[in-house]
Amino acid sequence: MKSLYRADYHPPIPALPIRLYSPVTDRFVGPELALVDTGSDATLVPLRHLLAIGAEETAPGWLVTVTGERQAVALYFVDIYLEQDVAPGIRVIADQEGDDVVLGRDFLNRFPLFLDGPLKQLTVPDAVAVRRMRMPAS
Amino acid sequence: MTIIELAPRLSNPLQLLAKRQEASIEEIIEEVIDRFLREQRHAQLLQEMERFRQMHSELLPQFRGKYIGMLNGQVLDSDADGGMLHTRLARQYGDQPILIVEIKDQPEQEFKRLSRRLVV
Repeated sequence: MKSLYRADYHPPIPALPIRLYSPVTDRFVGPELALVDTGSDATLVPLRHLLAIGAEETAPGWLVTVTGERQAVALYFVDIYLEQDVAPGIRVIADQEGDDVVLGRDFLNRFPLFLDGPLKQLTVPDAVAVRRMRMPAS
Repeated sequence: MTIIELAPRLSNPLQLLAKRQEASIEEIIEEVIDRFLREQRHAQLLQEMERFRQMHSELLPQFRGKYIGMLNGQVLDSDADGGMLHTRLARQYGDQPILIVEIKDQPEQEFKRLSRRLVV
């Protein structure tokens, strides 16, 4: 699967088409091009998306920035679909202000990802390509 | 559908607001109630979080590395998979504000983000 970087960010940012799902309410939202942020422990989801699928807060939490700033947040559970693949039961942070889903390492670390900066294209390689890429250099 | 009769002191300004926002009265009321219920749930979860903080050291040896669901200071269920636990508890207890937390060395559910913010 290939996905172009989002050019509405400068510099362009890798993005993946995802859908959000609540197994409790059986409701989907998306697809939309979510931003890839390997610097984030957790995935951030705009509150309006969480409301759209009828998700409920499950705990208060804290988001700590690189400067040590602590921000109180609310935590929700959702399933995140990437085409046919699903990452079930991801604990995400509700984003009260942002418009974009920001995929953190809780989601990203489940997939092999190839960032092709010059082509501004992110590839999720198929199983054959992954095996080839993982082969030790001879 | 539930029918609610509003006092004139509420319905008159509500009609004006609906006209100004080009929305229906039902839409505005639903939004207000939705926000109120969300705030109430958050407040209840904050109280439950306080109970969890006080019990954390007792719970740590038994549940380290797992998620627990807690209501009124009682552990209802636990699972290594937080998503599975959440779905199970939601199906069993409906809309009850059950706190679901991961049991780690510290009670706070903390996440780090290296990028301070994304700039368009």
